[in-house]
Amino acid sequence: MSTRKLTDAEKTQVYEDIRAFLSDELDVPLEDIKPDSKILDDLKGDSMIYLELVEEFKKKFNVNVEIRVIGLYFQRHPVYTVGEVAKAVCDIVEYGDDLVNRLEGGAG
Amino acid sequence: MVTASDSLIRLNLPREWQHIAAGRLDLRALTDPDAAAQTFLSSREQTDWRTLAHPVRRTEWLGARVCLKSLVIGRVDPICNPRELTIEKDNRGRPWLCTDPLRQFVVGHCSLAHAATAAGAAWTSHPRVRIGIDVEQITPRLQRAAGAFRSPRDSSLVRRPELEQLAVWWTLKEAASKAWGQGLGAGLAEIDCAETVPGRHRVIHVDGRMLVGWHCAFENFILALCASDPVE
Repeated sequence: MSTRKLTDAEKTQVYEDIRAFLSDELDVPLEDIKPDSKILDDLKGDSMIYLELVEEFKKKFNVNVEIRVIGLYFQRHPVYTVGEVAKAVCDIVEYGDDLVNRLEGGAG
Repeated sequence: MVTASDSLIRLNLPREWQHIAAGRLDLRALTDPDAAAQTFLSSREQTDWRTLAHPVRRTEWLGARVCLKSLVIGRVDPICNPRELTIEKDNRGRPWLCTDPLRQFVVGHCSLAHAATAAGAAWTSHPRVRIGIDVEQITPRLQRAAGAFRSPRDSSLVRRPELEQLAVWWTLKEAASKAWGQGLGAGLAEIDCAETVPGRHRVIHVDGRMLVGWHCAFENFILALCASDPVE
């Protein structure tokens, strides 16, 4: 069952909000954060930044997904770049706890 | 250039962990990263190192390997040159030390960590023990992320400031997830940390898996190490 469907405008806003968050948290100029910027290697992020991002957007969209489910999603769909993080956040908001099943075509 | 023997701080681990060596390094001591890279990195690692864009990330990556190889050199025969060591990953992404270029002699399971100005590394000579290490700076970020990693069953014996205690639990759980080779998939909030003796912990996943944990504090950092019983 889908949690909600994001419009293209909302997905773009998610991406821009992530850029702003990373710029602020990692002290990187906004113009240096691009879709293919690697969070760990190019922006000096760490594993905690992923959790902070997830917590931030879970609150923003009132989504309650277990971290274990998000971790499994990251294992099966490795997330390295800002663009990939934005897609992951959109998937988390849209599919919630059914994330792994829905993206692998399982029963949902 | 700073030599490893000058800057590496070997950690005093519990007596039953004689097969584990762990240490930490102040990354500010790497005043000549290019020279350190020449001394410590294999040719393949040097290539990988040069692909890292962010200068701080390059120092962290290098520092963790300087720390690890400094622990191992001189303890494992016939290896005496750090450039002969390389880190390979198993099918769960867990790092192993091997010789390079042949990558035929497995030195042992290892783990690396870095945060801000600190790097940490650990290595075990036991072929069936899995280890994980993590280091974290004590900052308010831990409060923001706490909802994602704290368990209601986390417990401590020592009364610590809130941020320091959060750092203890965070680093233990990160170290545990590295030892299990699962990253966030381990579900950090599904890992319980019970301090059994000050600085020592039982780290238990809700699915029953257990590790022994240990932590130390230095400057404004917490470093934690988790180790399994020998696995089949």
